[in-house]
Amino acid sequence: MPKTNIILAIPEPGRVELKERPYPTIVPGFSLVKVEIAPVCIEHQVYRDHTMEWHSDADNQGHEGVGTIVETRPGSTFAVGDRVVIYQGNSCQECFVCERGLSPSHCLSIPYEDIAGDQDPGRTLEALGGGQTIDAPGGLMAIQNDCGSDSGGFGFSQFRIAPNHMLQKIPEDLPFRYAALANCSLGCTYTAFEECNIGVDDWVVVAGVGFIGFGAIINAKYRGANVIVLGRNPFRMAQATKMGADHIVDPDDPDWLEQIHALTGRLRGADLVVEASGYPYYQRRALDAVRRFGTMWMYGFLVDNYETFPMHFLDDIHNRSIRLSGSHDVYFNHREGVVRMLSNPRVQAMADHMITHEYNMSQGVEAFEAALSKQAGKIYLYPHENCPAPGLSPSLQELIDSGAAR
Amino acid sequence: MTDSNVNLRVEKGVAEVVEVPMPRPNAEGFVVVRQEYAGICTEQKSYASGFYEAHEGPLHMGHEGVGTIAEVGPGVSGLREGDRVIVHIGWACGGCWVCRNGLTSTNCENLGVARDMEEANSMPSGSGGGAFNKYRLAPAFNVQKIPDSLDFRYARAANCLIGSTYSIVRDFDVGPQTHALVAGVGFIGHAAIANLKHRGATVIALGRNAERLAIARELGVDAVVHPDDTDWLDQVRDLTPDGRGVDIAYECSGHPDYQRKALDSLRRFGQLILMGYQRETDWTFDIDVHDDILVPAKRIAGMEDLMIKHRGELGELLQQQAMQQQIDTMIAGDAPLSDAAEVFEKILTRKHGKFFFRFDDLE
Repeated sequence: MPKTNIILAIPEPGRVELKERPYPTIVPGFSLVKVEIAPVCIEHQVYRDHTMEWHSDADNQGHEGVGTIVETRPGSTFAVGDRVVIYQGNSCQECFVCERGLSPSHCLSIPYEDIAGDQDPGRTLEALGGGQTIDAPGGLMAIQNDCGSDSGGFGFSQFRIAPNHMLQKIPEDLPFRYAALANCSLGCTYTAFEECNIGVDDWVVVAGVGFIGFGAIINAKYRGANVIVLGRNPFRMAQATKMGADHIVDPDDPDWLEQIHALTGRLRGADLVVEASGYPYYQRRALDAVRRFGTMWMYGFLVDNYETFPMHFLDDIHNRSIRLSGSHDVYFNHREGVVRMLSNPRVQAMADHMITHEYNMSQGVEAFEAALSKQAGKIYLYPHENCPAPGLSPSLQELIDSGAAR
Repeated sequence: MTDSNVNLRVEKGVAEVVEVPMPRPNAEGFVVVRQEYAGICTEQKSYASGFYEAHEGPLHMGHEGVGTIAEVGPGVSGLREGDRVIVHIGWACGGCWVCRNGLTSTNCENLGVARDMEEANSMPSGSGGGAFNKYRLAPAFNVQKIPDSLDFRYARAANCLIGSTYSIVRDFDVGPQTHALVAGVGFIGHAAIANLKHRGATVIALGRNAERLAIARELGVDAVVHPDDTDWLDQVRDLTPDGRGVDIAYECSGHPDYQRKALDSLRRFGQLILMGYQRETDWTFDIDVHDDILVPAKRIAGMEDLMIKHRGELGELLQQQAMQQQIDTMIAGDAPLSDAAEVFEKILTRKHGKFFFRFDDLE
């Protein structure tokens, strides 16, 4: 049994460090997982300029993951050797959000009302008696705190603690490489499609395509919907096309909206528009592209030069009866469906275009630089330094060789 | 336009073409449609046994059809002579809450039948209320214009085929995550399979008719289970996640044996959809409320028609090449009205898919 836990820290912008921490300890209600893959979400922004979310700091990064259970406590329904997805957070299991199987990242225990949305890391939470934001209930640090452990609450570590209700067993024949998409890519976007009941012949617009946008494209194609991508970067458009996007519309074209109306025919707009950029430029177009009675679902939020999005409630919402929503992660209720989707061979073929880089955790710099290059999709870290083929995926290499990068 | 019309008289052992007066749309809101095709739904039973449903009679047979508008009556807007149309079933009022909410026209609170339409238009009985007429009276509310690009051979699937099974799949959240059972594989079973596969569901067919199962396989069912196998239920469950049973079962035969098996195949909280019925029999479906419904928390619903609000999207679906291939697979053929007896005999062998009458040889 190893006595230490190696974690990845980002002590300052542009620098990555592997640190040795005490081996995690757990209490009943939690399991210890050997992390096989720790996907990168928005940590490249931490690497770039230390833009933090409320639940992270320089030494505590990463929130996605898959792995194998190595330790349980009495009363657990999990067993050592179980292969699992680790969902993010430490939800209470008592509030109505948890009770109804909604999203753990919207659990009432998380005092969002007291956490300002200005991306100020380490902001003091007065409501919590002077505690730090990162210690707020429902967050990842709370997992370590609950277990009295000095490591293991976060994604970028060799061994990670998870509340049992945040674990999901996966089938033996589902490779970790695909299961690792159950968090912030295919998983979190699944929730929008399921909530909006998107199915065959429906129309979906994806505005702004990074790995969340790619996840939306794959979800839409899995369900048989038609997909229009609203985007400009030729390389990403080439990636989106490889993943199955049916149409590309350039948002700078003066007639971009007419193009969407022509494609969607009698609906005059999309049933669902997924906004994955976080910028008002795309937010405005996303809203305009929704059909009457359609839905705009927002994922993008953590962007540089953050600006608010001006809306006119009568013109934008009332007169068109449009629904706006947004979420972060997979609803409890949707986990089974997510795993079934990830087991689908068609989805796996699309995912091979989406997973663009895989690295050992010691290659964190290369991983974050790849993410910042904007020529990437989902990026994986292997904390146990056992990445089968570090570097670019064959699909991405093929795109670069084809000249799409220029 | 000629002054005479033709109709098919159907009685036990009789199916003959007879001349009847040409219908005229004298009442507000009616049109006359020159029919291209009229689907055969269950009319062979009247030929076989002399049994009629409440809306039927010897000169009031058939309810499906596609064709071209021949005459537009008073108070009709948006339809013109020469428009190519689908005629949806029955005389729905357009004003009751069912119609206003875009639900199914055959569930209209004021539903009128063939005889009512003839009477309202001051036309003699048998002159064109039913669908086995070359010229047919139709309420404008139940007529759907179709684009030139939609061939009548595919538009005709809008009634008791792809259309009648569309809404009941569309509105029950069927998708790639769904495991569905189709019990009974006649033409309604075939159409349910096509709609379920269109939405990406995994489909298990429960059936024993070799010829019709062959069509089901061609339509893409993922598995076939024989209802007489002693372990049929284990076979069905083994095809579902954790062996829990299917999410939804479509009963398409009307036979109590299949109804029972469709109900038993469901997972907890599963949904049974009843689409089949056999009014000429005295069969009943016996349900133990406690054991069958309350304990496993199952639900039962039934519907046999396209929702009014889905007409537009159905029109688009029927233009999709993949669906047209499915329609080609499930349609056995069409025949002139004068061959009706022969076609009914063929249907009664239960070895075929869906048949249609055509009217191109009759003037």
